Amino acid sequence: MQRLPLSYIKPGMKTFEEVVDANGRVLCGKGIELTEEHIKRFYELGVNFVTVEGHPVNLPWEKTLEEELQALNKRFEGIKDPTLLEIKKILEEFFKEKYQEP
Amino acid sequence: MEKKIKKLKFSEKLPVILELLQKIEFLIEDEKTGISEIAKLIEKDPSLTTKFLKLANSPFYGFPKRITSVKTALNFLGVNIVKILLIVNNFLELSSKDDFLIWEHLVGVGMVSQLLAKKLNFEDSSTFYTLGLVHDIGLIVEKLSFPEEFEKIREKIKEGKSLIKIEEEFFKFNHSELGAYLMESWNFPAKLVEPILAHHDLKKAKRYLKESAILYLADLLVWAKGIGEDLLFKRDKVDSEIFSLLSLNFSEIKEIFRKMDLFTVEIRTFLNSVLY
Ligand SMILES: [Fe+2]
Ligand SMILES: [Fe+2]
Repeated sequence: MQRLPLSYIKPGMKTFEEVVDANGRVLCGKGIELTEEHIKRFYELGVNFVTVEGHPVNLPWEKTLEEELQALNKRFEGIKDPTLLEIKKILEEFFKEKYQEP
Repeated sequence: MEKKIKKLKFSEKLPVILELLQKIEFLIEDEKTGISEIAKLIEKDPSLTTKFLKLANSPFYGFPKRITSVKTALNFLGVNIVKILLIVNNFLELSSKDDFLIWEHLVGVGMVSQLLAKKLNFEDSSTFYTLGLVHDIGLIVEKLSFPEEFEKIREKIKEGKSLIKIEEEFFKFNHSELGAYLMESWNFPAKLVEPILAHHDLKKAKRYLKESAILYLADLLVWAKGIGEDLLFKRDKVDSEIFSLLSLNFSEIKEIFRKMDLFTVEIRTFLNSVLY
């Protein structure tokens, strides 16, 4: 799943969760393939973000798995605290899972 | 500690907000004047009002409806949060795009504090988001008031020392103490002061241990995940009780990382709309 600003949303993407407007009204269900029509309506009703299935867009700051793990190692450089190292392990698991997703 | 802080000469940019806060304080004390008077006071300044409403509509407050007036914000958020947002707005105005990572850290910590608070069934999760926005205020004040020392602090961090230790060498206090001191001087209640004081050292928490632990953990997780990736926020140790204190297990932590990952785009979009 990926959360995207409306400007990145294209017809054919599938919603991962309900889309609601600023007043909490449900505009579109979950698992729906979006059409031009939907997107136009989202603009009109002030929707800013939509969560869609998969990972259709590479946002400018997003790293590859390798870069992500490299940055993680650099952040934790010199750290010996066992609890912090546990947290690092959780993050490694998280990143590996994230990049395995279709 | 207080004396050490009082001796400092802060940048003259800081008091900009103080006058407004004092007027609000004055209005709160006078019991007859209610929220509408405070709203009127803020609305006198249209540019402030616009910026304030942007903050009140931060993505992570999660109100069902857009907040379109200062009065609604006061009703929804309460006077203390509105006061903090005015302070945050003031510091945002003194910041530039160069401070993006610092603000990404602050908003990130707000978002994660709120997530944790919701998970632990605290009713006022929006308070926790606000605490996140303001928790490193001591650091921003140091940066604005003592730019030269601040650059030296950055250099020292590269050598591997922790921010807190270096601050104590330079100033004889650290940014959590300075932040708590400022919050207290602005008449915020202990519930909003103590977590700031304890966000690097849980032993300093007394009455609000859980609240403090939430902010402490959020600060740590945001750094660990690489949101607001700046050496300033590096941690070298952590209270080993933290997870049992908040009764969180590792799979719940992973779930929080997943949410952080999903919402980074909202943090960034939001910051691009408030930082120039
Ligand atoms: Fe801090
Ligand atoms: Fe922090």
